Amino acid sequence: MNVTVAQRPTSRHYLPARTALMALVVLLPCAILLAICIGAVALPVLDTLSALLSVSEQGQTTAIVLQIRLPRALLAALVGALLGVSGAATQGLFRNPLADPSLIGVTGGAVFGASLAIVLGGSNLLGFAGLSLVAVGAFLGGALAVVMVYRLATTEMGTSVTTMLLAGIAITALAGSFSNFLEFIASNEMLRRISLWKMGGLDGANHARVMLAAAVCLITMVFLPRHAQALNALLLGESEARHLGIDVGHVKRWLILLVAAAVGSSVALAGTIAFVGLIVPHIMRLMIGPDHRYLLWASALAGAILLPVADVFARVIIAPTELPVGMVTAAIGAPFFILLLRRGPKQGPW
Amino acid sequence: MNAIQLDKFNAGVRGVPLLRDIELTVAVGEVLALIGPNGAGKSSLLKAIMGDLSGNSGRVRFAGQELSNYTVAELARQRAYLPQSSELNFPFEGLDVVMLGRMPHASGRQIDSEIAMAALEKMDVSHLAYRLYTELSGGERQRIQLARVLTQVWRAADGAHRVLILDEPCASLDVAHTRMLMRCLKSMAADGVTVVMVLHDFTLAARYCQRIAAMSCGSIVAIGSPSEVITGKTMRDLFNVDATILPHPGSGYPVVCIDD
Repeated sequence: MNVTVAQRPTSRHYLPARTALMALVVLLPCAILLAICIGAVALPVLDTLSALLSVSEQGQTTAIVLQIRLPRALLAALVGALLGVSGAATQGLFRNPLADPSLIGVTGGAVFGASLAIVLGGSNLLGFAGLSLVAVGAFLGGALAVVMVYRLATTEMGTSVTTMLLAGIAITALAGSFSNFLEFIASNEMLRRISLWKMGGLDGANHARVMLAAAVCLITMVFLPRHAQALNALLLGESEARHLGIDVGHVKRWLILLVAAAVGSSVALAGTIAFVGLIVPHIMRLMIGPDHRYLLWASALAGAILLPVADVFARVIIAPTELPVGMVTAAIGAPFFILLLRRGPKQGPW
Repeated sequence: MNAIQLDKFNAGVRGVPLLRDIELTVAVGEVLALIGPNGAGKSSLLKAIMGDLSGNSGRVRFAGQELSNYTVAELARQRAYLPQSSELNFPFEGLDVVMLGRMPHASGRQIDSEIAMAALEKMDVSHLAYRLYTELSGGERQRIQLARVLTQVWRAADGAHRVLILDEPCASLDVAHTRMLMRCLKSMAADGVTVVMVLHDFTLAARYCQRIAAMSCGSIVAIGSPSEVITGKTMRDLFNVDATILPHPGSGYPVVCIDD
C-alpha cells in the first residue's frame, strides 16, 4: 500500500484539540484566582497569592482567602467540572447535542429529596461530612430517580436510551408534582429555603464539601474518559457501536452510574445549577469537534472555569447581597440555548 | 469452511414472524445478493447474521462457530456492517467517521490513518476528508459510511475471516459510484472477503454477485446463480411484476426489463 499520508492538515472547522486543552489548563488557575480576588472586598492579586502560598501570616486577607474565598472558588470549579463532563457524556450517550444531565431525572429527584428534607427535617443540624441534611436528601432523591429511570428503560432486550429519555421526563414530572405538594404544605420560612436551594448557590462552601467534590471529581475523571472512544462509536448508533467491538450494555451502565453520581453530588453540594451541563459541552464541541477523547476533558475544564466566573458575577452584581449562582448561569445560558435552538442541531458549528 | 451459516433459523417480534426456517451458507470470498420486496426480511436476515436479531430457534454460525463463542471485539475485527441508514448527527469530519472503523484494531494511528485515507480514495471521497459529515449530501454520507466499513476489514491481517454485511449499499449512489463500489467489493472478495448485501437492482446483482437469494415473507424462496434466480417467474412470484429477462449482448448476464 503506497498511500502516503501527510501530517493531518489544520482543520478548517475546529481548533487543534491539544492546544485548546492547554489553553483551558492555563485559564483554570486564572479563573480561580479571579474568583478569590473579586468579591464584596476586592483583594489585590499579590496579597491573595501570598496568602495562598504562605500560611504563616494571620491577617484579615489570609482569613478571607483561606476560609471563605478559596473553598468557594474550588467548590465552584469542581462542581462546574462535574456538570460540564456529565453534560458531554449525556449528550453523547443520548446522541443528542441538546441533551442535559437532568434528562435522566437526577435533578427532579434531587429537588424532591431536598424539599422533603427541608419540610420534614427543618434544620441544618443533622448531616455528616460537612453536608447538611438537605444535601443528603438531594443526593438520595437524585439517586433514587436515576435508579427508577434506569429500571423503567431496561428490559431483557437491554437499556433503550429513548425510553430512558421518556422515563426521565415522566419521573421528573412525578418528582416535580411531589415537590409542589411539599411546597404547598410548607410554611413560609420553609418555602423560602426551598426556593433558595433550588436556585443553586455556593455559599455553603467549606473544606469538607471541597474534599467531597474533589473525590467525586477524581473518580469521574478517572473512569469517564475511559469510555471516550465508546461514546464516539455510540454516536453512530448502538448497533454500529456493538459491531465496532464496544460492549454497549456495559458502557451504558457505567456512563449512567458515573453521570448520576457526578450530577447527584453536584446538586447535593451546590443546588441545581442550570445550563452548565448543556452549554459547556456544546460550546466545546463547536470549538474542538465532537471527539470525546478531547471533549470530555475540555468540557470538565471549561465548566471548572465558567462556574467560578459566574459565581463572581453572582457575588458582585448587587454586592454585598449574593445572587444564587444558578440564576446567573440560567440568565447567561437561556439566551444561548435559544440561539442554538434557532440554528438547529443539524447545522454545522459556527 | 463456510464464512456464514444459518441452520433452521426462526425469528419474530411479538408473535409476528420475521424470518422462517432460514437455511443459508455463504462460502469464504463469495458475493451474495439478497433481493425481494419491501418487508420480505432482507434486513432482518442481515441482522440475524450480525447477531443483532436473536432467534426463537435455529443457529447462526460465523466461520464454523456459533456467534456466542466469540467476544464482541473478536467479531468486530472480522465483520463490518453497514445499516440502511445512519443516526450520526454530530459534526465529525469525514476522516474521523472513517477512522472509527479502525477502532477494533490495534494497528496504530499511522497505519490506521493510511488505511482510512485509502478507503476514502477507494470510495471517491478523499475530497470530503475534512468536510463536516453533517453538511454532506445523502450519497456523500453513504460513501463516507462505506469507507468506514471497508476500513474495518481492510487488511488481510485484520481478521482471519473478513465479512462485509451491507444493507442497500447502493441506495443513494449514482451509477458511476455504484459501479465503483461493485468493482471494489469484487476485488475485495477475490482477496478473501465475504460479502452479503441487499440490492434492489437485479441487473446489477446479476452482473456482480456469484449467487442471489430471493426472499419473500421471511423465507428464502430461491437461491442460486444469477441466471437461475433472475427469471420471469421469480419476478412474478416476488413482486407480481411481469418482466422480460434478456441476456446482455456482450456478457450474457441476465438483464431485467419490466413489461407494462
